[in-house]
Amino acid sequence: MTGTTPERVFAVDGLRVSYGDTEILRGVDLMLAPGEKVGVVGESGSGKSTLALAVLGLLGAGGRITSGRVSVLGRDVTGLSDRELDRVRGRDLSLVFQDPLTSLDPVKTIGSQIGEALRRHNRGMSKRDVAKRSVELLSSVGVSAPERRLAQYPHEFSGGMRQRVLIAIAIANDPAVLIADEPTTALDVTTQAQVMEVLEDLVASRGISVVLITHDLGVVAEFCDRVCVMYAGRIVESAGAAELFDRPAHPYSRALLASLALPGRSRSEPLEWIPGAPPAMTSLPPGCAFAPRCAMAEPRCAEAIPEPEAVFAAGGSPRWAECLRAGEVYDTHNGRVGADHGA
Amino acid sequence: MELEVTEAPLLSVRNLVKSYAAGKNGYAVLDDVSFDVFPGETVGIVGESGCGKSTLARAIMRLGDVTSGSVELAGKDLTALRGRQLRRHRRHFQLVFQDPFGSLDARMSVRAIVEQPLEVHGIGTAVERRELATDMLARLGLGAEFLTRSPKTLSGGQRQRVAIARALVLDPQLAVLDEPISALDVSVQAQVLNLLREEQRRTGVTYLFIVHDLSAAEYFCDRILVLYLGRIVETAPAAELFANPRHPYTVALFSAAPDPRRPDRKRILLEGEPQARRPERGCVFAARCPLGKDREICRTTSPELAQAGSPEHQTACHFPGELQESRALATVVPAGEENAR
Repeated sequence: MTGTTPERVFAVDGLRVSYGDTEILRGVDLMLAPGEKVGVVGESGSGKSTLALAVLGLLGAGGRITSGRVSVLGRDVTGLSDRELDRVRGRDLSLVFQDPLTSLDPVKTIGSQIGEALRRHNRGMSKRDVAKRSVELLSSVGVSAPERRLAQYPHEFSGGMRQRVLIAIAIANDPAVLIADEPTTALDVTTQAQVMEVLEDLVASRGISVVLITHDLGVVAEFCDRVCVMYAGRIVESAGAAELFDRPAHPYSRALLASLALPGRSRSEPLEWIPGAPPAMTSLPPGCAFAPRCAMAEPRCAEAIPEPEAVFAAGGSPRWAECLRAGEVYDTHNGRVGADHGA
Repeated sequence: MELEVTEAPLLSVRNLVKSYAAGKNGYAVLDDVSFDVFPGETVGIVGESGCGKSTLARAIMRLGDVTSGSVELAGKDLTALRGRQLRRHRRHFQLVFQDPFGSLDARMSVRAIVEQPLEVHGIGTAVERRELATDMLARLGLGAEFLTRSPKTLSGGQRQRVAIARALVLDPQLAVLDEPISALDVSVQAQVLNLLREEQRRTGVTYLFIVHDLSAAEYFCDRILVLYLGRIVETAPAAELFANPRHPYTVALFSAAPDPRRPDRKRILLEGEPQARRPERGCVFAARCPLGKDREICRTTSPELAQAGSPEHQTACHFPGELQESRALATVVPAGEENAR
């Protein structure tokens, strides 16, 4: 870790990613301050998982970054070789995947898998230190009787416990930034609450910055400081979490929130939904990708990708949305989503 | 809801037990489950993995035999039906699966998929069947341009609408919806729920909705059963259950669900995860229960479902209502005032 604390521990600038001839990420900007928790939400195909893979250099065959850069602690990591990336991954930038069963090796004990992660960045670490640190890590994610559990195999752990092990591995080397890709999607709701609580405590006590990638708007609302809404490979709106849920400025964010069956919503009013389907990335419409499904679209929306328009919350921080009519959406947001029930 | 108390139930499940192994190793995944569903009602079954909700759906659908107990649909015991009789009777109870990708034959056209059940049950002439299928699909927002397409070319939401059309085209009395929206994107979930509700208004079909998404359950269901390790621990009208849960498991379950409107509330966190097996005696939830963990009666005596609150609200707990989340922003909606909002 660097001695100084840069203003931006993590930054993505104009990132573009293609698989073959198809562009999946079309210029993504994302920035994290130390200790900040940012949610990236979007529906399937929006590019949110590609973003996770791209920043970690894990795109695999066929996928490549065509332009833009990713920097961690002020250092550009986009041009690094696999060897160099190995020194960054796990130490500066770490990842928690969705599925804890396939991410753990079934034939190795939990202890040896945590030990492996520790030794990767600490070659000379003694056996005793590895054992001691592993016990600390497991208990920090709320696994009881960690000494005994280290000798067990993944199948002896429940889903929630496996996800805690993955988190322990991800934070083994005190990363500055944690990318969590749908970390609780495979879990039941009471288990999800436990795991999110563990994550929240760790992040707070160690000052880790988090990018939480998820489709679950409720999880984002509870965990994140800021939310980025993705659509067709671009971030179309970025705002403080509370502000976004209170008053979205992009028509897509607004429609997405309106389609939620929020707790306490009156049964008599039908839910709103978004007509059509997200565009195929192979044949994007010109201009704003959401325009063909947007109730507010005008002819000029099809002309070019709109410049982000800033909107200003009274007393709050300025926000932006990539929409020609963002100011209008923001100003005319009447039925504040789900709010005002019985208050 | 506008339920007549005197009305006979459409679906009546009595003392249902389903074990997946016999003899000494036998373990009942469903243990003595009884409930009624009335015509035109939507009843939600909520619970986490391993609670038996999918097993319950399969048992009602007669996919496999039950160990004991009965499932009556409009007075007819489905568990007693065999072979041809059962196949014939199936038009009255239909299932919509969770996964719209695995449940449609990729080699058939959308229209053929929806016509097929009509053909199997010998309903109408070929021309009439085509018309029924076309109309059904149109009501679900799948117009003429979709009829000849293969399900492979459809999005998840479109496929799920085809699966719903296939189930509802038979005009069944009961449709069991097994997590019909959980594989879909949020914006599409809303459309599917709206369409299901419109069809219910039109035909009066009764829904049994297996669901883990609590806000969808609250929005969509008239009444809810909460299942834990194969037992019903609480049942009540949806609005009442969400406003005033009485069983500690229900309270904790609701508390754990993220709510974008109330990000800062204090959650009740449960310890541990559901075990694979029920304890041999005592309450099924006792081991994880903030109330019952150390109480003798909870560890030794299994509580029966008993009235808690209104006559329609029942819970199986020795200390109903004792565990409460502080609900500063209560979402209580008195019945009848819904339309005023």
